[in-house]
Amino acid sequence: MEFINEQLTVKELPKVEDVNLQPLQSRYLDSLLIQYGIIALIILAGLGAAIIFVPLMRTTFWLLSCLLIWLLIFLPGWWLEVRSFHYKGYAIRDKDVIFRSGWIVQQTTGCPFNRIQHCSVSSGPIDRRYGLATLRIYTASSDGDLAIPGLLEEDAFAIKAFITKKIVTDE
Amino acid sequence: MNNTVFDWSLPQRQSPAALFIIFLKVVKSMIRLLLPLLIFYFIRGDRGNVNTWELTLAFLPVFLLVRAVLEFISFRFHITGSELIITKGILRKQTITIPLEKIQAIHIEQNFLHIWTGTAKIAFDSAGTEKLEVEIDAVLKDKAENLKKFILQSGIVQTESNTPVPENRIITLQWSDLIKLSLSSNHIEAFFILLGFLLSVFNNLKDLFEDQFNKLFKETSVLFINSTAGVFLTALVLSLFVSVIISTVRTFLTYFNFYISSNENGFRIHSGLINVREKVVPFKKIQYISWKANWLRNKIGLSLLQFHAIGGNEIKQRQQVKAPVTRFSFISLLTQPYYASTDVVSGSRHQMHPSYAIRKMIWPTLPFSLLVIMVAWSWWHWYALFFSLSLLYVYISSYLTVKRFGLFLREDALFIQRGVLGREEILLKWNNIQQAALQQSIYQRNHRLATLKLHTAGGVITIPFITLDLAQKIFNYTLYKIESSKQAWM
Repeated sequence: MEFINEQLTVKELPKVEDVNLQPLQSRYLDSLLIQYGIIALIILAGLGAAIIFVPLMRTTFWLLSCLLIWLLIFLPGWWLEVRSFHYKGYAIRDKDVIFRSGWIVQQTTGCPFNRIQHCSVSSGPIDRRYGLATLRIYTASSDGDLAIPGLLEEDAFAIKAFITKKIVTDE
Repeated sequence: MNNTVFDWSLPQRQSPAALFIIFLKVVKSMIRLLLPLLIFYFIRGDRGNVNTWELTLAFLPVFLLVRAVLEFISFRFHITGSELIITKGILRKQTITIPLEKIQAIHIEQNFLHIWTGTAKIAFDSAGTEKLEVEIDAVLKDKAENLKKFILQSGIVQTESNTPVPENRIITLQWSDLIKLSLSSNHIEAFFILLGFLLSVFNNLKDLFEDQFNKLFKETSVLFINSTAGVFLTALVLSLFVSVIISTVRTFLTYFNFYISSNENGFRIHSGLINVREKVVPFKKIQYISWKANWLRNKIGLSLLQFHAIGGNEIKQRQQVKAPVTRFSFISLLTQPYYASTDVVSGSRHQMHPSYAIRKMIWPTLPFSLLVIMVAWSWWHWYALFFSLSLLYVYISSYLTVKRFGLFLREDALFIQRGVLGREEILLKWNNIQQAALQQSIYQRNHRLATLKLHTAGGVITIPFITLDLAQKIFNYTLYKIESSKQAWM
């Protein structure tokens, strides 16, 4: 067998910034916004109940304040969800997984296969309705496991199988 | 143990006894969650008629039982080839796959409920599973033993030898070292411990003798207000004296008879006067090493060295192993098994961007200070402006952080120097990094800066406000080093 041991300089190393990231499924945005909307409605209902049952809050001042706070929290949040969705992306390379997220604070995470302990696929009821799932990758890191949401369920299981095979054969 | 043969390739349920154990677990977590509400319910006076509270409390056990049943039904586990697969979840379905070779240990545990029902809990200890709690609540004891035997017999699980190996004592603390440690420890912390203790005594006495206490308190308050500066000074000196005494006692209690011995596998750290603690730090479990000193300790050459080792429980309980270092030569003695080279600070020193200080002052200190000033204005008026001094404090401390920060990159490791008044140094081998993350805020994006987070099994190391170019180079090099290395990280 031919022995290869090429010397590399830092400039020759594969660059994460050059990787073409795969966007998440577009229907994930719908699922995300529905989940966000449900939380917003539950909180609105809670505020409504408070206004109905607490006489002190039955004034125009309280009514407008609650509505304003609700709008100030949820409208920018909604907008941020949409913005950050378009920025999110992932790439499965030969030796690692790359995931990009966030919009105000953008983050690119690189997780090598030979550090992965195990992975799981999970999906909530709304995600399931859209045929979507989240792939969660666990390393021994004391903080911050990697979660890639908005994958087609079959893709999530296929990537999980690929990673599991990789981490076993790489050992 | 009987010799029943189980087919582990078929999905298995837990023992029906698990239903009861899950129910208790759910009840426990629910009580913890609803404790304030329950206390409120029981201490409030009016409980005449059945109302929403009673109805909610009556339905709660039914809800918890339904949840426990659903959790029990949805939980299944099996082994396919070289993987343990667990499926669970009621609304959020989850499939967990653990390669058997990643399992470090299998624990079979029994509390009195397990003993009573003839079952056992199985916990799978793997380096990355701490947050996931991969455990099977209750299976029949025989079945649990059988599963453990099956996995161990597969020959994939790594086991450690317990054969004792000769060791030699490398560091001991002298009386003079203990006194130096006591005098240079954090007296402010000791002062607050004293203050906390006095306040709790004060509250207890107040509850016991309310009338007499209020009278006495009023009299002493008047005396206190009318007293001269000399009394304040005496009180201050006395507090300092008591704080030093407390620090000395704490140091002696913690570090009395302290020694570190070493063998071919790791360090053994022994210390304590009343509670004797002995910690074993296997070399292969050390993820990174840091040593730090406050301003005073820095001046007299004292540091506290910390082994950031893998081990979920240790991290969870904040019991990472710390060792006082009274001579500079001890540092290389303790770091050498982890990283042999002592040449870590040569070569170019990379620094943080100077804009860090002003940015830290503008965000989040400025809006936070403004908010505090606005709230405090209604009570203290112009005096509330004193809170604006926090801006100056943050600017100066951030400026010093930038000035003192140094990042040195070696082929196999990186070395960080940082601190405001004191000093902290961190030694991390690339091979011990689990994953890397590159972060950019809007400001950082506009100025081509970035913050790098290096995740290890012993904690996260943050390198803030470096140039984007350098951050990307380190990020790419980290992945390259991890992926190309054949060396085990633990």
